[in-house]
Amino acid sequence: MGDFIIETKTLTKSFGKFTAVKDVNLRVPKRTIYGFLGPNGAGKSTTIRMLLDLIKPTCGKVFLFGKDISKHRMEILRKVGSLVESPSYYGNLTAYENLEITRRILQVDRKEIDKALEIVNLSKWKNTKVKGFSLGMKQRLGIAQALIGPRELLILDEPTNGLDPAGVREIRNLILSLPKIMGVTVFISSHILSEVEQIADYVGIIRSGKLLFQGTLNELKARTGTEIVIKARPLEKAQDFIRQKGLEVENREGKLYVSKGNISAEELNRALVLNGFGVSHLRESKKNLEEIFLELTGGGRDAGILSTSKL
Amino acid sequence: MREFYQLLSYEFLKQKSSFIRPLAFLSPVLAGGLTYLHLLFRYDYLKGLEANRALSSWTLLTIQHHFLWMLLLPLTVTVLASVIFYIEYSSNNWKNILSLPVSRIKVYLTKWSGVYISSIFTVCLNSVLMLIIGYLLGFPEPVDWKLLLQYTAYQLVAAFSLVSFQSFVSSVIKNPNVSLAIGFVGVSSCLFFAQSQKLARLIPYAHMVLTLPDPTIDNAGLLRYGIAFGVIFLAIGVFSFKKKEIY
Repeated sequence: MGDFIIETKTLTKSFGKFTAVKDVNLRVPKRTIYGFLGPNGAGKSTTIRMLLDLIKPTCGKVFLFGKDISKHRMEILRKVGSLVESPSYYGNLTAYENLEITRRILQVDRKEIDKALEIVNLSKWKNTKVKGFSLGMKQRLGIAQALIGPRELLILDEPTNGLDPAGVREIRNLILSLPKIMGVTVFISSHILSEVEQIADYVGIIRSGKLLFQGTLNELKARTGTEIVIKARPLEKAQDFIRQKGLEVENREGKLYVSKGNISAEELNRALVLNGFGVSHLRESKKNLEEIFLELTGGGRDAGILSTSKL
Repeated sequence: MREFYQLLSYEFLKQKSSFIRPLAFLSPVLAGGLTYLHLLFRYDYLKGLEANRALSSWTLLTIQHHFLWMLLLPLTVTVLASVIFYIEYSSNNWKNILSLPVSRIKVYLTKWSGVYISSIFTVCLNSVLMLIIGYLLGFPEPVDWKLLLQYTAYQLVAAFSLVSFQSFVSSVIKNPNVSLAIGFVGVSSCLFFAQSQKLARLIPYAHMVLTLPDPTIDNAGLLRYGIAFGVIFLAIGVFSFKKKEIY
């Protein structure tokens, strides 16, 4: 328990007959950036709301800092900064006044406001009413709110939603810098693979309320097997020949994709050539992260996944 | 307790530049202005009516003002409650506040206090304006302090039950139009409810009708039921808010 800043045990949330989150066991190590990935409607925001005690789980437990949130809510939330989906703000107040409200609740020094505004690069606009802010500025203000006080954990739910590419880059760089500047653990949810890939040390992939994968990015990448891609003539006979060797082979657009079993590319090439096939192309191919992610989350069936970079 | 005062102070900070303050101020000014004009032109006629001859000028003022104020005050309370709760719904601020280390009970009580304090201001300003109207019209009798203070106190009790009820409604219903509609229907029906002694006691909107200090009106019932309903709906509101799921 001590090594994980967030730990959930069989976390489940149902709305009537619909189960939004089912038996999720999150484990977020300290001082890491944990990317919580999944398509829209996968259960990311519902999970985050349960982590923050905004909604009660139907069953299961949430432990933050090793303590049960339902029993130690006040103590835990003092150390947690959050931005849940769209940023919350009072439009008729200035950026400074908005942060002043959070500061008063947390009873921390006024300097914290200036520090947070500086980190998110909003110092110049601290006396401007928030209703005049762009979406990116509001998003940064939301992050500033999350940074005020003695925070050890930041929970950011889709912090780049609705931002233009420059805004996405800005927020991404900001999040990347936070563990170094403040020593915090960052738990960030997103449906954009490239975004998480660039900043996260650990990832959790959720789909239809179920946690499909949890671990480091390298562990995720290691899940893939290597394929051998071959262009040979005659193609269909070559396919039969490979199949007879007990290997799985698929014909895709005039190329044979061989799931690598206990045979090397070199051995396969030799076997093909010695048996009279004309091999014009042969290479080893590893699935990229995008393919692994799409495979895990059901591929194109979930239209909410953005696997290509926004930048 | 310190946390509660801090929450209350930022509640008032949030009201800055919103129309809550003008509303709490303008509603008694509007009612007072209309009553002043009404009595400026019709005082002699009203005083000459058989039914009013035995009444003092202050009692006449209170009765005439009450016809308008018993509708306007609950409408004001309804709008105040809806707007003060809507501030949090409008920019999804509930999730922000409630993910901070604050007690949900205190957050609700702060909201409730924000509505009640604004209502107290409105009621007190209304009483001050009634005094001013009396002076401006040059009433021959000295100020009837007992009448004015009783009227003010009864309004505070009626406002207590209505604030508790409307705060509960506004905290449960996200759409302010719905809570406003409930309030408007309640206020517009309050005269009908008040025809029945039982209903007048049991429906918070009708409590306002009972605030006129008069031997023919059930002021004692207002005190008992107004306070009881205020406490009950405050407790229901707190309990419901504690369990509220924030999406």
